[in-house]
Amino acid sequence: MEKEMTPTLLSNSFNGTTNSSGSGEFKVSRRSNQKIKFAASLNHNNSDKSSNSVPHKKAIKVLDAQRRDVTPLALGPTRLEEPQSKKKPLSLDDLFFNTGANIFKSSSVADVASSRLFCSSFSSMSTMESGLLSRSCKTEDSFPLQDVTPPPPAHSAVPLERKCLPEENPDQGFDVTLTETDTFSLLDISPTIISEDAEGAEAVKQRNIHYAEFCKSRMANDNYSERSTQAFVGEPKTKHVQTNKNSSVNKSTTATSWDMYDSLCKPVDAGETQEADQEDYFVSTKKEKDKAEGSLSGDTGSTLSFVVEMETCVDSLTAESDQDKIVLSESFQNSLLVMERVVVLNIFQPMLAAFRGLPVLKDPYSTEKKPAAMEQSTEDKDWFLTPTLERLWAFACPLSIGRNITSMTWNKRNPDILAVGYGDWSSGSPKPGLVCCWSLKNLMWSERIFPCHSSVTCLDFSANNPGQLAVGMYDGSVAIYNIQAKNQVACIANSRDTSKRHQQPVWQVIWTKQQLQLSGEERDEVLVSVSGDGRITKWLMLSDGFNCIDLMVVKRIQDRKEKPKGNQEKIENVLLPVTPVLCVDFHPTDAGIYVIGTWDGRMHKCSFSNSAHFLDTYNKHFSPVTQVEWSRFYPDVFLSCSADWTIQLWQLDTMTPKMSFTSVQSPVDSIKWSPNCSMVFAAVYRQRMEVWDLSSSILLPTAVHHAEPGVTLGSVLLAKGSDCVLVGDSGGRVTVYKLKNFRAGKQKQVNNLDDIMQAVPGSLND
Amino acid sequence: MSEVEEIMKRILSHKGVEGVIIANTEGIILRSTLEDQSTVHHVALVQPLLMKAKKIVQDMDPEDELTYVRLRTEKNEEIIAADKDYFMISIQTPSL
Repeated sequence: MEKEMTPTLLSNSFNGTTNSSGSGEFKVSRRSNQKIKFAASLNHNNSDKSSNSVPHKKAIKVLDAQRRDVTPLALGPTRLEEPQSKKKPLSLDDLFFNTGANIFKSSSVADVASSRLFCSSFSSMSTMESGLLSRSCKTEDSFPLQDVTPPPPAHSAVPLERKCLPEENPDQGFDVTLTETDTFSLLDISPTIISEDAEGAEAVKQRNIHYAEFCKSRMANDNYSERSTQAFVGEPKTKHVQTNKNSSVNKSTTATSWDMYDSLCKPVDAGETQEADQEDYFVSTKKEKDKAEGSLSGDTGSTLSFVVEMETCVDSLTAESDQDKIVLSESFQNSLLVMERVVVLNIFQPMLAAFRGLPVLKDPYSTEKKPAAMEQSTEDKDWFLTPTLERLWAFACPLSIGRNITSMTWNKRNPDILAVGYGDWSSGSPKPGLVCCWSLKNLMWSERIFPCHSSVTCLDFSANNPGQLAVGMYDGSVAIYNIQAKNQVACIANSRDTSKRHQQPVWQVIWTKQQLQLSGEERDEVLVSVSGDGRITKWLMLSDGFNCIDLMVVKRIQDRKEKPKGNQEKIENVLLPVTPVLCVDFHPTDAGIYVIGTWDGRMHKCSFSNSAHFLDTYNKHFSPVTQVEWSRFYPDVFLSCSADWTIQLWQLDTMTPKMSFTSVQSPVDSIKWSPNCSMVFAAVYRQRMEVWDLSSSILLPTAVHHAEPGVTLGSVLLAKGSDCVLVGDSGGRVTVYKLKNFRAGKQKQVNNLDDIMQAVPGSLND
Repeated sequence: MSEVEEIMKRILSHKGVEGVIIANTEGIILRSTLEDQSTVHHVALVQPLLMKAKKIVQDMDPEDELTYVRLRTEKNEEIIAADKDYFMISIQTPSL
């Protein structure tokens, strides 16, 4: 009733039903006169009545009586009009009467001209009214009508009465008044029950009574007779229909926080394939179960099982290609490596625990009970037992067995890595050597194996670059290996092609830190080698290769005449008076000082800066000095051993040895201080290995180990942080022994090497 | 490829090792040294354990990942190496 009421859309269905005449009565109640004015303007030119101009042709703006814009909005995406005969400006006539196929073609109710629809329905209504009903109605519609022939409305055959509008109207807004129709009643079925108080109740009652009497009288009446008849009833027939079983697949997933994180982190394609794999996994497992159940239910699951077979075929094909990919992947090889280590550690767990000084746990499920009891009793008597060596294990692998071990060294950074050099030149012609890097984590196979072209005589790990291992060989070449690489690329330097290389076997290589030149923290490290041609050379990795600088050439000291000294090159001529240098060791704190041991038994103290003269000479041995080693605990003390069956303890500025140790008449091949205790050192003779503990005895070795027959011991090493001794022999085995019952340094703290040295009566004279 | 075979052979040659099984995450067996029946049995039983273990680790810390699981029983020890694409089981009877 209000004039502000917005025009509402009439639906299609309404149109449809109003067209057909349904069952029941059709009533139209009196129409309420509801007038809604709306102004529709077609904007060909900018009309002043509309508030703003819309650029496209068919925009219609609807304004209500208060000139407010109440244009209905489109419900759906606006449909482009077919450009058919639209050259003429569109008239409201078209809009209102063009109800044919155009509008009802699109399924969407809304259009740009949604008001158009409304208008059309309204027009249909008015048409119908004018056609079907003859009522007086008040309409104030003033449609602008132009000379456009509209298509005949599809729903009504009644010709329209049109009023022609004067021509000037198109540019102006016009008023359209909307009124409400009366109510149409479509179906009216009157009830068959009326109450007793209603008007026609009496008549109905009478009729009911009359009917009841009539029914009663039916039986005896001649007007009616009974007859029966039979109807044909069709036989029911069963018909079978077979369909495929509807298979159902359960799919589920759990969204967990890690799942979401994974999907976020992975790239999208990989993520999708991963998902697909996951889904396949789920689906395939489910289908396998179904297959199992399907076989019970018979042929209803036949199609299902076929599908499952297909899937498993596909799966097996992809599995093979996956297999290679997996097996070759790096993580798999890592896993294999760790797996091997774990397995080996399981086997050797008690030995390794003993090595590390951890208590050895007995397996609670093992069947042996007796040794445990015995262990307990021996612990009390521990104090009185003699120190012994207990064999723990041996590093040996099929590649290394049979080769003679010449040198061993620990890695400076990772104390679990042991490098062992193999070489054999006793048969006259030197055989190719081998360097193996063992790890304590895998006792049965060495982690790195580097074959060398010549027998290996010495090894040393660098401290600054812990991955670099310097190798000295029998033919005089010096090589540096990077043990982090696995194969041929490991050898990063080789002096084979260097012009100034050694011509005689390299007897020792050693990395040493130079004097602190700058204020930097890392001191430069330098590789120094000594060899049988009397040269002590410093090796450098220059841009053009591996090159060396002679630090010193050791000449045979002749008392009679002075040979010209200098750094001249000596050609490989044994007659020239050079003395093979067999060993060298640098002072632990004063890096410029080093001591060398030579073939003729002399030891010289030299300095980096002075390449011409020795600073000092220590004369005691009369056979080749095989090893010199400074003590790590007492900076001025060093130990030397030689083939004259003796081991001598020297102090830096004393020209005669402080102490001397002899036990058997056999050349001493090597000695090593213990890195844990200042008074323990190990010495290896050909057939035995001795451990000396100076705090308990200075005359006899504390523990002695004899080599197996047929095997000579070549090298010895003591482990840091663990009281174990490693012995390398000519059979290619590095045997690890634990020093048991050693009380070195534990009880008597007072004992000190100085004290011991003082205690020796006087200094030994020649 | 041959390196892998070599390492596997070595693992098998260690004392107490009874078998090694390699399978991918879907449970398809890639390599096994035990017989088929027990291999399938093993894989089918280990797989849910691994998934549960992975879930445990990642629920506690989404950036963490499961690497190894060691299952020690009275009679033997199973060492399982787990990864996104595969898992490997090795069964060893410890000699303690």
